[in-house]
Amino acid sequence: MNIRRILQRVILAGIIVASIYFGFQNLRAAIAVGNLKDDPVTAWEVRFQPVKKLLPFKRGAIGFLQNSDVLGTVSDNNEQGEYTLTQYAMSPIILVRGDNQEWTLAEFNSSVYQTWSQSNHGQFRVIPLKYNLYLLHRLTP
Amino acid sequence: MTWLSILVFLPSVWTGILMVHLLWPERGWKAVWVKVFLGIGLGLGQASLLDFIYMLLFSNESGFLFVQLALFAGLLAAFILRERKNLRFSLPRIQFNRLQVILLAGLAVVTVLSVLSAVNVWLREPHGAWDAWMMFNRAARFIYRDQPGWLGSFSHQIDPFFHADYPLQLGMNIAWVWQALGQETQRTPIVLSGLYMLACAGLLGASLNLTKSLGQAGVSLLLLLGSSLIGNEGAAQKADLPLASFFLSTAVLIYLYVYFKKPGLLVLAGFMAGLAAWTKNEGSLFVLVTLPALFIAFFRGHPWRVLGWYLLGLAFPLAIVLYFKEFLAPPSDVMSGGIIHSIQQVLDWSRHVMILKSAGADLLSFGGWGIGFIPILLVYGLIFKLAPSSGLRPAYFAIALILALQAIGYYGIYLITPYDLQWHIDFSIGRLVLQLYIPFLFLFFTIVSDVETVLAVK
Repeated sequence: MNIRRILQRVILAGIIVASIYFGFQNLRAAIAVGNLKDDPVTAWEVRFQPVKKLLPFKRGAIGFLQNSDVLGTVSDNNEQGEYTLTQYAMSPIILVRGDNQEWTLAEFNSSVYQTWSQSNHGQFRVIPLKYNLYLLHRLTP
Repeated sequence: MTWLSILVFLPSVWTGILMVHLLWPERGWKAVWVKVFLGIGLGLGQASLLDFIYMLLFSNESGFLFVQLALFAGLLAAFILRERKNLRFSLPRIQFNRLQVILLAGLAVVTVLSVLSAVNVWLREPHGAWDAWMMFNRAARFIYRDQPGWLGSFSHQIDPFFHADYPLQLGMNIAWVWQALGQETQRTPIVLSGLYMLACAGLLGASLNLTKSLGQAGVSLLLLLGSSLIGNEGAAQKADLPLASFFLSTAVLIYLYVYFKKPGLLVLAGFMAGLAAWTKNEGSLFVLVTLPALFIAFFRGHPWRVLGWYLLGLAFPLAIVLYFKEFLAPPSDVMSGGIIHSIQQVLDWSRHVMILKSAGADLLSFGGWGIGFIPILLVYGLIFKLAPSSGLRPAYFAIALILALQAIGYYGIYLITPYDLQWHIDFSIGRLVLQLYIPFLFLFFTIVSDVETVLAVK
């Protein structure tokens, strides 16, 4: 048996063994990523059921505010991720950054909410909800 | 809901299989398997295209399932009418040699591991990965949850970040099955991703089994399923595997055209390329590059005839894509920086260096085996030797040219991207390599010597 034939058998055996080994590693890695019941998207969806019920329409656009909009900072990856998740959860309602719509959904921590409410006093009816969410209804045109 | 989703998709899948058969009436079990796996993608694609038209005309109705059932019944009648004298059912006599038994046993283990990985991903992330829920499942929700106002899905008020300009193949398929089921269930996009995984892996194996050998199909599938490309990436519900599946289908059909000389195969190739454009924006680039590639590859034969058949298949899906892009979709973000800025970016050599470095690094490590699949294939090719058939040269050339031009196109998009280049590369290059790797795997194993012949196992 010449060297080429030996190499051919070795590489073929190597592909079979490696594909099984790495297939098993992929499975292990997939299992290690997290608990099957910890899907963040499903958990996020639950937060927005009350918001949908409170809105007087099922389609159209609402405003969306986060801490960075009040603090004047650049939104970080967490905020960007939450914005994306919220749009997915609220579909087919369109989230438009800012508070220029009649209704606005705000996701503020308590100190940011205090800051925001001082500078927007009387302009919105505020409906506080769980999970640091506030539904804002613009009172002034 | 999993079984109900499968049941609702079945008429579309069968419609696809029958369409393939009516355009390519090749007989034999090996050809049947190729038709089945081609038919899955084609069936899902045609359902999505037709549902788009249905929704434009009857957005208040939920009867699209009956359109699919009627189409299936019509094609079944045409099939029976044409095949009534030839309908004979006989099981194939299968005999495996020792090498094939070893390869198939390894493949069976790898397939089981791949399926278990996919099930784990589906259970852990029923909404799919980030891109899946942000773009495709979100689009499906807009269409299903506000059926009469579904055109609002393309409102210019939607943040460009959500890519409402992306074509609707996946979104429409998910939405119409939800309409048929009367409820929104994550099992539907999960089943859809499973069907594309099956179509992609199945087509790679079945087409190599038809045109080369069972051993060749086995080795190629080991290299596909032994990575995380199918089990993890495919199950993540993103559009890259369906897109890769349509790229592969187009490549396989061009190859089969040269192999069998049946024009119907080129019509199907054009249709598959159009479905790629209906799946993701990269598919539009694919359509653009296939045209000159086919013309050049068949230049010594009948390039206009080849292009004519190809365009015949491409016309319908491309017309839908153009209508969607022209009249509904918000502008794409690729050129949002402006033409002057794009030219400045192209002239910036540091961008070229960054793209080439990242692409090189990804190619050398792609596949998750420590050593990249490209170096592995290079060594495999050297040891097993290439044995291209002179009669199939236009097919090799066409597929290689398509893949090369597509890669150059991706390079160009990186050059002009309005996003931070390194972020864009890190975020997407693995998926772009995946899209091209699967048709490349097919091309490679059509050219390299059959494993059975080389090892002289009869």
